[in-house]
Amino acid sequence: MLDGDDIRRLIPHRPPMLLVDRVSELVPRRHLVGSYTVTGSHPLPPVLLLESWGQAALVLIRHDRPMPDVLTGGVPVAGVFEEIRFGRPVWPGETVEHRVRLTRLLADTGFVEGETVIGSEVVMRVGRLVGAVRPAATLRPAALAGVSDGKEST
Amino acid sequence: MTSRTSPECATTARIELTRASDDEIVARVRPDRADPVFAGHYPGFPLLPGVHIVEYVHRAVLAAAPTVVLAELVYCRFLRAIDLDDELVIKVRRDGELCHGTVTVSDAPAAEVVLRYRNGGD
Repeated sequence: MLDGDDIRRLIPHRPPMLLVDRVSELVPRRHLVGSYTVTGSHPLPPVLLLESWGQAALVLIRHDRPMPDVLTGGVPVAGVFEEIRFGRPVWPGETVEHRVRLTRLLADTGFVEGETVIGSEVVMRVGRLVGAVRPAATLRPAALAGVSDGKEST
Repeated sequence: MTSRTSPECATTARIELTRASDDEIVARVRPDRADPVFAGHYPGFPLLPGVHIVEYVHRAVLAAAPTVVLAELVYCRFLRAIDLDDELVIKVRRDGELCHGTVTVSDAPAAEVVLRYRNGGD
């Protein structure tokens, strides 16, 4: 349904921190199924599994309002994580399937829950994630001044 | 087809453990500006991922208790954006299988993180 190029048009994350490969199912304002295949030679750290799931959630929240560039589209920021339960390690070569359900959407703040599975095995449960989009200038105005001048300031 | 790479570790920052006892851990860390993740998070606007802050607290726990396994991120609340030049001070209160972490920058609260662990042999 959505591949890597489509996903890059929707969210601002880029390699090596783009951790969603494709989306196979997306019902607007309801749920999404996305996947990511782990590369490298070590198990995926649990926090990066959560980051990957969060990026899938961002695709669900922003599919109708693309934000490929944080300087113009805003910065996605995590506010709260609750009850994120980790199962067994995820190894290189394995493909995880993220299931994301949107429970509430208030302007630019989304409330999501779900799980990550490999086949029928749950490797992570997400009780709740609250994320929002903030203007880049409110997060780091000094850095943006440098960016607008074409200088590397951070 | 676009080639891609995965970050093999969550962070390249070095955690400096300054105190560790049965009930308390204190550590310091500075984000590593050379960490390749910042090329993609985000281009032209490098920003510390929130999950890195969780990882810093986790690494501080592991430095003091290397055999435990992360079972749950019970709760985490981010209170402010962190600059890549900031030094983060991590204080963890250990309470059985739970670790209650607070992260501060210049004495200002930046995050609260509660982690639950199980023993590696379980």
